[in-house]
Amino acid sequence: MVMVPAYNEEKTVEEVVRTTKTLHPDFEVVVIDDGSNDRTVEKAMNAGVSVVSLPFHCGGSVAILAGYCIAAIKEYDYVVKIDADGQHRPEDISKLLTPLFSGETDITVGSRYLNQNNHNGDSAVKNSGRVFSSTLVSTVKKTGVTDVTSGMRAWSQKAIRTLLSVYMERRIGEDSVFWVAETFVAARKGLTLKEVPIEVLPRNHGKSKSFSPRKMLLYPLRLLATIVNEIQ
Amino acid sequence: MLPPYSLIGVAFGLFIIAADIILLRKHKLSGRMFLLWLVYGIAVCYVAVDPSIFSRITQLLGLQFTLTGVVIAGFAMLSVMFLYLNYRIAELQSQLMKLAISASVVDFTEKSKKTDKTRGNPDAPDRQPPS
Repeated sequence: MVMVPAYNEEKTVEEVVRTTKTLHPDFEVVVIDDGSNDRTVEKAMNAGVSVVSLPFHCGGSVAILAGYCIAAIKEYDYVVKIDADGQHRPEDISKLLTPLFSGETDITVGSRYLNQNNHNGDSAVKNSGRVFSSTLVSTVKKTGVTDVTSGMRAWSQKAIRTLLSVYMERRIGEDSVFWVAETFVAARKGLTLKEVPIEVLPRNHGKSKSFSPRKMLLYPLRLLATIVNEIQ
Repeated sequence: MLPPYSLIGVAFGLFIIAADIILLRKHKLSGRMFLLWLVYGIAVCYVAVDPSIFSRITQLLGLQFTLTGVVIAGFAMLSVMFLYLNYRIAELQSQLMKLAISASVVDFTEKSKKTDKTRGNPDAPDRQPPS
């Protein structure tokens, strides 16, 4: 299953979904609409994929958890998540799945920093923040992950069930530190993580929902709160 | 040695910080609220050790505000009530989000079942979302 969480991505969702379907016709593509108020649902349906609609805008982490639930119920062996904004290349899905198919790992993380030629168009501040958080998490938890905030990931069914059992017992985390928290949870629960290089394209339409000047200012403090929260 | 009122103030500030950390560790408080209460707890400790900061701030703001035992007790009570409210709101928000997930997943599985049946697969699995 390929899950594509989307919030007001009418300009890009159709193309992302169509390309994914073309490249991977055997995979079920599920768009998780996070209460969009534009034509995201309509565009996704035009592309002929299933759409899960959250009743209102709940945030990215809630949309991802909805995707985990679908994957657990439908018992998909592997789940991949890509963004609906067109920054993740559907061509990279195979790269993420290869280590899962071979049983080498439980979770694959797509890293933009393993690919030396990657120019994602993000500011130096954003990239420094990502490198800082990855270094901090790797130092604390010895995960060796170079791109801890990467949202292009793949999971095995075992990983999905393990993570879901943890998330359903606690309050749902904040979007900006969701992947950091998940990295901690995965490491604590004995799930293995492996990184593969991916290419992240510059955003062509709309603004990023996870980064704003206010969020960027508060990010180091939130990261600290997450580490206090997750460290054993 | 700090005077007794300062010791009480510092103890209250530490209580706020401890409650804040415990609630965060139990995943009952959001990171945002944790930071807010951490800053508040530190501020309470500081004011308890150096109460003159309070009168300096009120002077700076052009206010006349006498710091009495009643005012401090009122502040303390309001703080505890506010912290409790934050905790309850965070808990309810989380429950609401989980309800939203359940509703959308149930809706999706129902639609999938109908689609499977129209495609001629009446034996499509009839599974329930994880509780």
